[in-house]
Amino acid sequence: MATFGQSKVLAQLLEEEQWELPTSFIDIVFLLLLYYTLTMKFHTLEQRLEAHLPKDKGPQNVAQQVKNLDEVVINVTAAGPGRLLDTPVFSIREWESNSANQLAQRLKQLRQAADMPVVINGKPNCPFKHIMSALDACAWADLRKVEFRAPPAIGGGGSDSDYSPL
Amino acid sequence: MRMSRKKLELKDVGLQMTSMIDIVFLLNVFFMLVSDMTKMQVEALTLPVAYKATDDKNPPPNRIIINVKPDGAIRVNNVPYDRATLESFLSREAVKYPDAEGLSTMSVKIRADANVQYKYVQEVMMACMKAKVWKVSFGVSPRDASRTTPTGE
Repeated sequence: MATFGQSKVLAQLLEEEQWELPTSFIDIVFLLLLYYTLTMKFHTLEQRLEAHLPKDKGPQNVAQQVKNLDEVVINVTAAGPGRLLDTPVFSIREWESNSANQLAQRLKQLRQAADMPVVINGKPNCPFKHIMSALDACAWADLRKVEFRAPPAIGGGGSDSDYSPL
Repeated sequence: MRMSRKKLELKDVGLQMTSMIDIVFLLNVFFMLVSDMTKMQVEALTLPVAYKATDDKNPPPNRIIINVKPDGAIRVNNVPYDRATLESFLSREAVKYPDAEGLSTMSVKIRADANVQYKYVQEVMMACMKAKVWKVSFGVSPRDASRTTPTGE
């Protein structure tokens, strides 16, 4: 049985045509490979966390809104030495923790239904990553109706009671 | 029956270099444009980490990416905005995609740095609300998928 290497036709082809490596073709393949590799990396590096803003209402005054007794308000602040503020502080009424994991567990305990309203009340100077940890914990507890408490005025001070849901 | 053996005719199978160079040139142009657009929309930021995030595949064509830098600076398509100009820009864009409820079907992705103060992100969210844009998502980095708790503890 003749093997591939012993093929007379192939030998003749190689001899007569002086087969060369198609370098341009390899260039194209290499470029395509590079492109797809980079694109795949972009896809895996970044994801998204959905947080749809309420459709039926805009920023409201506390005086105008009807207080929803079922809603859970997660207060998010930060603590740390100096201006680092690297440690999150999550609190729901009297309960408090520094761990997003414990917050997720707490939310699971409080969860009555998937549409239970949750309000994330973040302090204006709190690092954004702590707010995302709270939102992530809500997603972990399968709570989808999440609102964000808005500041009373941009750049202004104000107390917590002045804040209204977005 | 004896089959007649015809001698294999060898044709010139040389590569068409002109077409190939055309293709390579087009590919290069395409890659250059795509990479430029990517740079314009996405700033280099340290995104917050989340476990329960979804892959950012098939984004809607009418999505705007808003970058919030560590110092609170807002940039869209490499153009700086403040709160007032962002609001008017979003309002202008939002009216192009109206829905039946008088709101907008346009979506916004907020890519904010992990360490930026929350008040700057609130400004962006307020601008979205005022422009009647309610489809908002946040750009996050995925956490290690092998972990089973939000913090990996």
